[in-house]
Amino acid sequence: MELTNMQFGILMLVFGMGLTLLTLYVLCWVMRILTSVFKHNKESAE
Amino acid sequence: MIFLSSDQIITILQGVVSGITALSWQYAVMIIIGLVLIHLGVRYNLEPLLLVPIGFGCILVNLPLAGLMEPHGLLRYFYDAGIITEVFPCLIFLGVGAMTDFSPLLQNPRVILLGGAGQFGIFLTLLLALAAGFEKLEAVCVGIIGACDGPTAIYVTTQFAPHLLGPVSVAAYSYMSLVPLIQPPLMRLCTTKKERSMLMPYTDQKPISTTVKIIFPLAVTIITVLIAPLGAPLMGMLMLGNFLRECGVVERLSRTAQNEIVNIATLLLGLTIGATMNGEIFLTAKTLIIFALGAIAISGDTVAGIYLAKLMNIFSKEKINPLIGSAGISAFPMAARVSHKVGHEENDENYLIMHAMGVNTGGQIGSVLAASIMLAVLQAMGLI
Amino acid sequence: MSEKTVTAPLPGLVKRILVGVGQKITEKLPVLIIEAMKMENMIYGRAKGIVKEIYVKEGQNVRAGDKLITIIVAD
Repeated sequence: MELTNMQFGILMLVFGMGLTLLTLYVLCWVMRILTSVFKHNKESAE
Repeated sequence: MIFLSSDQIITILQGVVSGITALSWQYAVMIIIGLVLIHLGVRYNLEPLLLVPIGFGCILVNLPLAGLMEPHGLLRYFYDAGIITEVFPCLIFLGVGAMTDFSPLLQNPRVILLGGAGQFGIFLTLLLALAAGFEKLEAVCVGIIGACDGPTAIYVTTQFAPHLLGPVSVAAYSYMSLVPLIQPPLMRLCTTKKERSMLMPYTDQKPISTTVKIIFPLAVTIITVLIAPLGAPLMGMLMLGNFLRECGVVERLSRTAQNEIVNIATLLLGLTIGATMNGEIFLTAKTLIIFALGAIAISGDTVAGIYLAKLMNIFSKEKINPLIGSAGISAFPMAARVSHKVGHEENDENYLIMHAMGVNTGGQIGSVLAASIMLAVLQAMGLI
Repeated sequence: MSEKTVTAPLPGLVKRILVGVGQKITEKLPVLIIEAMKMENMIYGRAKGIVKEIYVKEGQNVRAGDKLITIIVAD
């Protein structure tokens, strides 16, 4: 399947932007889970 | 003159001044451009760490007959060793990772999405470059200017369009240093006075536990490399640097990554990028188009970040000041400072810097991720 | 007569303290400078009155929300 240049560009836009935002959304949840599992408790130790 | 005939004397004189006679207009123009870059760095303190070596490299390579970029030329060795192999950009990422504190991002995880919106310019520019007649892979490399990130641009361009390396990387670095000039007018254009003056206090932020800071770079590495394996060198080095910083037992390595390694890599990378600015290759209409597209790229990043911030405000109770949206690019910490300054000018009770830092570090992850994902998509399409 | 406590709006280093105890200040007068991310940020008292107490020293690191100064507000 040979893509025209414009088809290629639009595919890149959709997949590139979409997958980037999706992965960042996953990372966002990873951060939320991490910060809720490991609460900061050094205050008393310091 | 008993030993030499007048013909011989003329030949010798011609040999002595051959450098000057070989100076074509292209070389002369490039030498002037090199001087301008150095002037901007030295006189106006505009990214001197980048512009000074780039400018000097540009002058060196455009002095005729010096042959620094010919086979066995000094700069050719640097180029083959560090740029072709991608070693320099990856070493810079190691240092950047060690310099970056992800705490503001971890305190407000959802702003990492703004770091994705800040990559929109990549794809917008890619489309425009295709429309302007660039080949597919060339267009990818022009688009990557929108990552606002020198090492990433060099990493991608070296692989797919090495002949565009000079213009693309110089455009990426130039626009990175122009962020404080390009962004503010666009930010004001896209926001209302009320939006800009919105307060975002930082006082209710909880401190982040050391455990989280240690796990974060590991988690990001594993997740992103599983999704986009071709980005592993960049993301791996960035997160390794950050891990060295946060794990707390290798402070020496962390300091070396932040100082010596990044300094050496920046110097050699800048010099070698300057050396790709050969007049005969650089001074073409294509370069002008690439610079024009680069300006669109960073504008697209800025506008997309601001509008995603506004969009997030529609769906979320906790409002964010749309000005921090523009910090979702990789230019660190300039973009965060710009958000802070524009917000502070509008309302002097507004101190956005820490929030903007969160977005800005998100932009660093975002730009590497977007580049890696582009590589993954290209591979899936069978183009590479 | 009421009192107003100014707190640090952002974490950073107290670069300079621009007022002294007992000094009369106005809303527009910066009271100290906090340096964060290599940027100097002016902190204003936002009240007309007299400085009652200063809680920080130059060169000290502060966290967001830390008390900086207290002002006796003139009515």
